[in-house]
Amino acid sequence: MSNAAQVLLNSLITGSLYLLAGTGLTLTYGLSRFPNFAYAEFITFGAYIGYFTMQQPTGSLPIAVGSAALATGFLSLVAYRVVFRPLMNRRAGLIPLMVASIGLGYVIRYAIGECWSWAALSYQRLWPAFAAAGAHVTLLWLYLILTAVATSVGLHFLLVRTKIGKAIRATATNPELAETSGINTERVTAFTWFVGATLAGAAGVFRAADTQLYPMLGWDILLPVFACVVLGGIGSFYGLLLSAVILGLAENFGVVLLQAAGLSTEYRMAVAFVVLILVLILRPRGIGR
Amino acid sequence: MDPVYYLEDTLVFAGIFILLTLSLNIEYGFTRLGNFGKVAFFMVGAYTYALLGRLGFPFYLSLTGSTLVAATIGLIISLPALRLREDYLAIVTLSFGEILRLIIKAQEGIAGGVKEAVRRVRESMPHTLKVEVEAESLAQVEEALAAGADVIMLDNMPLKTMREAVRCGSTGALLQTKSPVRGLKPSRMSSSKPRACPVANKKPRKGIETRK
Repeated sequence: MSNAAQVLLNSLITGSLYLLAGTGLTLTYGLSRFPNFAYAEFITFGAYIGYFTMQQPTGSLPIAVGSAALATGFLSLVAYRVVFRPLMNRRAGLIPLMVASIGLGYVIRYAIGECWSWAALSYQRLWPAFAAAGAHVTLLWLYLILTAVATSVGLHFLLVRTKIGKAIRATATNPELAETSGINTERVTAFTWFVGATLAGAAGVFRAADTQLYPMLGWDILLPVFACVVLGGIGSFYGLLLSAVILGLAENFGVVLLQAAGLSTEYRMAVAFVVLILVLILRPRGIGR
Repeated sequence: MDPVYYLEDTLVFAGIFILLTLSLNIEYGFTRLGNFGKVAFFMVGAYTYALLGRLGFPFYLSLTGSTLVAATIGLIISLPALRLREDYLAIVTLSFGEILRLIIKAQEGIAGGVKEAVRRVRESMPHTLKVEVEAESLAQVEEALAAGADVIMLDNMPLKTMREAVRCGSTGALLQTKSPVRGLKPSRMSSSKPRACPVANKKPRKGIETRK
């Protein structure tokens, strides 16, 4: 565990997961301008949809990731249409929106708990493992890193080359001006909520396949994901690319330090908290802006 | 149920929540600061009170002590938090509550308890293997169940305790004994839920000390 190559690889894996999970959050946060705490439950929901498809006889990882991504995207779309858009149309302040998102999160989490049980479940798959450069690697981790890289490249092209990407950036920078230039900001926002949540669903599947799945899964990684988003600068996708790597490194080196100090590795979340506090005090707008 | 007891219980809970909402009202109502980590201070109060009570402090002293500790932590948190934007403040307070919960969770037992041990074992092994925990009493069986052990070894237990253990463990884990149980057939022990708890009359394996 404590050899350098393994720690670096673990950092890359953690970073990829945070990148997948954080992208949707940073895009919707930048566009709708409020932190959606129910995002944690989008991740959990994706993990459970993945579990459901894995239980089928034809289940495999690509099918699980794909179906989880789609299902979570639609869940997010429904949440946006039913809960958040009516509130925003009534000019609700930040705090009511945040309270609503926490409430929505509870509804989803408890619904999942009732549907699938509160006990920890597992995908019951064994991933082929091999050793490379002195580190232990499994095929799942390679898929995770590959997915994270592919999504980043894809999103870069979406944001820079396509019309909808330009519209997203315009709406995030100045909604009124975007509206007057003929951009349908409603549709752009709904599209972003959908795309963001698909990545959350995929992240949930990878997290669950790597460890276990339980209804608190998303909530447990929400704090580092928020730390990533804030460190990268809210709404900044390129900042997130860097901050996910930084947080992955910080967390895994933190675990090594914790083990050296003889402390419980439960404290690893404290690393993300320290990063969050430091960023907010030293550079509240993040590194990407 | 006794109506007086029911009423009393409800009033006690109402009182607790009145105190909580008063506290939230001072912050959000008067100063518009959204504190999403209120539960953290609630928890600090509860734990301080319990710890002081265990040390033998009287009720009113424990109460005052726990309010003071919670207030001090609130003061420390407010120093960086008050300069933040509304949404950042929410994220920080929410995370603070979460961190405190994790720290207290990690503190159970001196080295983290059975739960931590099981978790660490799981982290370093493929999930096709099973985790076995030995238990010598009912409380330990329950602890092992809560920790998520797959197999619980009922070690050196009297027959009566073992029956109880089968009853409470029948849905969670596979139960094992080290030596054959005399006077009790496996089928009888697992009669309530035959699927979940066959008691394996394992012969002692090599290298494992047996007690007869």
